[in-house]
Amino acid sequence: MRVFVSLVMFVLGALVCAEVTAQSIKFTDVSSQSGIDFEHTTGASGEGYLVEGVSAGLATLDFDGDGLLDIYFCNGAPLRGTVANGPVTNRLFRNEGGLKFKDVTDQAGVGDAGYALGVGVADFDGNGYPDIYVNNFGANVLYRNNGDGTFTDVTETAGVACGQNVGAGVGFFDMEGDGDLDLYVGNYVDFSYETHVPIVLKGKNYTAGPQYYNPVPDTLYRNNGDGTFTDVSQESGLARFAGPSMGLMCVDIDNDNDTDVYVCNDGKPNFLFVNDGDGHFQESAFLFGVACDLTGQANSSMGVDCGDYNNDGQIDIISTNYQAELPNLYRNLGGGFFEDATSSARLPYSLFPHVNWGTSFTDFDNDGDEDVFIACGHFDRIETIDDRTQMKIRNYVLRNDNGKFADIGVTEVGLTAVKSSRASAAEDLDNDGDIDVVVLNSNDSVTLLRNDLDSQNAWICLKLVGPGRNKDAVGAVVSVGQPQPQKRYRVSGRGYQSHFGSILHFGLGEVGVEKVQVSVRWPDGRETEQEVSVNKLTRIEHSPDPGDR
Amino acid sequence: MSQSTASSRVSILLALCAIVVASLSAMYSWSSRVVESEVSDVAPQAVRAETTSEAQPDLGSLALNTEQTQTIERDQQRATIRLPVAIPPADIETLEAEAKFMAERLLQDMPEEPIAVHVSAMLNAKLHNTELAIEQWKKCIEMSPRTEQYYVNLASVALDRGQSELAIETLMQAQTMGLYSPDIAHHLGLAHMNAGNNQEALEILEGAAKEEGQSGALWFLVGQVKLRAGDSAGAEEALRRAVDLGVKTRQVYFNLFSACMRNGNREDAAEFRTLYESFKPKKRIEPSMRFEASTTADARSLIAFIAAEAAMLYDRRGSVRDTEHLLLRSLALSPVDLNVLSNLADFLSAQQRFADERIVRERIVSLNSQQLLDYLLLAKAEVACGNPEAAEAAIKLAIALGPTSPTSYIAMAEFLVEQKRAPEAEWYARRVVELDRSPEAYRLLARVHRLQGDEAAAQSAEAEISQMQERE
Repeated sequence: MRVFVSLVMFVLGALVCAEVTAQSIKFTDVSSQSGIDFEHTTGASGEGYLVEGVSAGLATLDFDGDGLLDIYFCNGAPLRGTVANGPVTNRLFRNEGGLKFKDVTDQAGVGDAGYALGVGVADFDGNGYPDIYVNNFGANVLYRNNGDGTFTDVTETAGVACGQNVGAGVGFFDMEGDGDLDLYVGNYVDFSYETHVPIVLKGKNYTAGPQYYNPVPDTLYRNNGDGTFTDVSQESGLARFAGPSMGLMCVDIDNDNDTDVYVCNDGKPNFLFVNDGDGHFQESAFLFGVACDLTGQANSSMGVDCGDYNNDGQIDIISTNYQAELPNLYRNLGGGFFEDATSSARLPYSLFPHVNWGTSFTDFDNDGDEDVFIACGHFDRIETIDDRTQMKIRNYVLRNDNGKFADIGVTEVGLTAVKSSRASAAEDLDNDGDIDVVVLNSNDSVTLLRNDLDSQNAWICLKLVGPGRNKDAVGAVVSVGQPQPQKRYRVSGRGYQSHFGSILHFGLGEVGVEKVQVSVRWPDGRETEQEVSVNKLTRIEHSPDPGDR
Repeated sequence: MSQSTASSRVSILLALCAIVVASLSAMYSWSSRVVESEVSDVAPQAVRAETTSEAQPDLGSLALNTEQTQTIERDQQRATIRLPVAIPPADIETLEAEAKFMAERLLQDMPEEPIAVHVSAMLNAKLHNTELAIEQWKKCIEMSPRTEQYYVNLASVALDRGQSELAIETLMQAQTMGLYSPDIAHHLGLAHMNAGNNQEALEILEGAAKEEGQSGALWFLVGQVKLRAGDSAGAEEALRRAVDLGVKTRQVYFNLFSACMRNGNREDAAEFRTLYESFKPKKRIEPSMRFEASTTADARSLIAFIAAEAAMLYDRRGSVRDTEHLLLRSLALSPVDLNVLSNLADFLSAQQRFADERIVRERIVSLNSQQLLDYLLLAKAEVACGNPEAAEAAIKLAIALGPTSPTSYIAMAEFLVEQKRAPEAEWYARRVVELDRSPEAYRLLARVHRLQGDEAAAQSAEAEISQMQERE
């Protein structure tokens, strides 16, 4: 009997330990102490204009090269019928360390007052400093980083204003392998004040979705290498495809060493533009199995990210979707085919009633596999007509346990903010080796979550410096072999119409070594290997010497 | 009419009823499967609305009782109802308020009736007051723990709220009550799939599919769960079976495309992709559909449903005026709803208001009902109203619509016999025999011969029956 009792105690003990381990992800909401006083506005006048609900993205970038990631928030602007209550602009917050930030918008000169929806960041001119492209409802803006803490609006000279479209995600990538970064601009639908579709339910205005407007093809600009761009949407083959674009990402989906573009469409099948290496694209989402969900239904996709959640060496995709649609997790089966693994990977069904936006594959607990963050929130006072979800709702962190995901909960892990979230970015904002989260909330203040991971798990962070003018090394793939194979992708355009992840992060678990071997496949196809120290940020520069491997 | 003739007629009528029941049953299960498959494709967790509309017509009253009619004076047969032809305009708030009023009144009048609670739950589910709907179906289960529908509906709404565990728990509770059906298996499988329990889902669905055999909807789900589990060969086999069983939806073709691609069968994959893409996109979505809330059309159909359900309950209590009012209201909001029309016609028939019944049955037929029974019931109503010519025309139309079904020929033969037109009845009786060489068919023929005084022919027909019995 004593043996039996001991055995029971042992099992219970093991369960308790497992529970403790399971709850090792823990955040502290440090928004109020961070100095980030940004308050997003939709600029709503009560008419229910389409753009109100879909604003906005955010970006992380080290604009001043001090080794700390700064944050750029997109903002709405007063829409027709709204009286502005003071200046409303996008805002840049400089990271002063210790998760303290300072508003430097005016000094930096990046306070565009347009109606911002999406944002992209890359060093398009190869001067070593990240530039910012803002995708607006209306003319877009390209800010060139002068390298001295200031930016210059070069939209006109660069020729990238992109008309008066309703903007979406943005990506920079080298489409034809000429060494500089071209610009992919997502466009949503042909909404304008003139085409606005009013919807009145029970005396209240609600927002008409994209299905009431015509989708607009995206725009692709080729970087001419002299500070100007040329619209090549037609010759690249992209202009033939019109979809209500939202989040997008530029990454090598088919593993042929050129960069493809995956675009979320709102209520239409998603696009996968497969690059032939020369900047010509074939739309192949259906063939790859990433256009729809498992039932063949085109979801209203919002945000997107890629990773290798099951560490099988193949790039996987997650896209977030509208209410009454689960996010889609597309597992790469190899051979150019993906399967909808949402159910088999156990993405929690509790996400089903909510609108999901920002997302990222992120190893929050440094245990060597990528967890998932999902930002949620509706754009209408949905709770007045539907009790299944709410305008303001909690966000989700899904812990990855051997390729199966579980909701880590709310209160005990510090995810207490209940707002209507849109964009999110997962970054190590305090350089302590674990990934923090910043969330842009619609018509609300931001949420800044400090990761208070309590574990001895090791990590590495890598800052890649790419070849030629592609200093950001967009398109590079990094592999780590220990303690288990992992890959990270240097992506442009992530989450919900946002940019983050310029620094690649690997959790290593309890690796027990001081250095690990890292392999890099650079955008030009060259492969290099080197050892890097654990628990450190390492800068890896593309070597001009081709004999590395 | 001799005793033997009368008893023979009873047996023929019973046979007729049996045939009608069989054909109805086939039709019903066919349509049920189609609905099921559509439900599984479009909204797997859709709540089942029907409660009383599943009731079969009173087949015992199918006899074309001319004697009864003859006792009814023609001036008593004047119609007292008119059927709506157009939907009256109304705003959504008014319609929803009416729906709530109806449901509340029903609850007040019959708090002890689980169906009354069920109707209120349906209303709340449709208005997306899902938490309250769940509570009400829990109450329904308490009141009537052996009614499968309450478990299924509760589970459906739970799934709609993202609560797959509650759905599983509820459906397993139904199973512990000894309730088991393809529908429960279907929803339980879905709930497990949504919870990521693919193995459990597969066991449940595959078991049910094998047991049912002919349920395309179940095989479709088996295919889906196998696809999710990575068994693309098994998925392809199950999905092909679903197609063979009549599931020819966009979703099944998409899944077949995926399965074939994974199985390296690119030729078939291309074919299935073409089929998938052949489904045209739905028409432009109404503005408020964005929220899945009630559009005016939704609200109308909601009231129509509530009124129809309430009518059945009031009918059960013998509240004639309530029943008639509610059925007519339901019809006003949904003038071409065959279920409501049939319920109204049956109600009027039971009230012996044959002139009114005839109007309703004419409407049913004018809506191109595909059920022969509707034409025969119209014929019956015409006879009851003293319009044998119109009855004959209705049966002829039924024959024209289903020339290979013996049912209508039997009805015509019986009708002509009653009309004392045995020579004409013989032609129909012979066609019955040609289509259905059963003892009942020969008995009908024998009776018709005998009515014409041709005993030899009658005995010859009966000899066929004896031979059949010997062979058996």
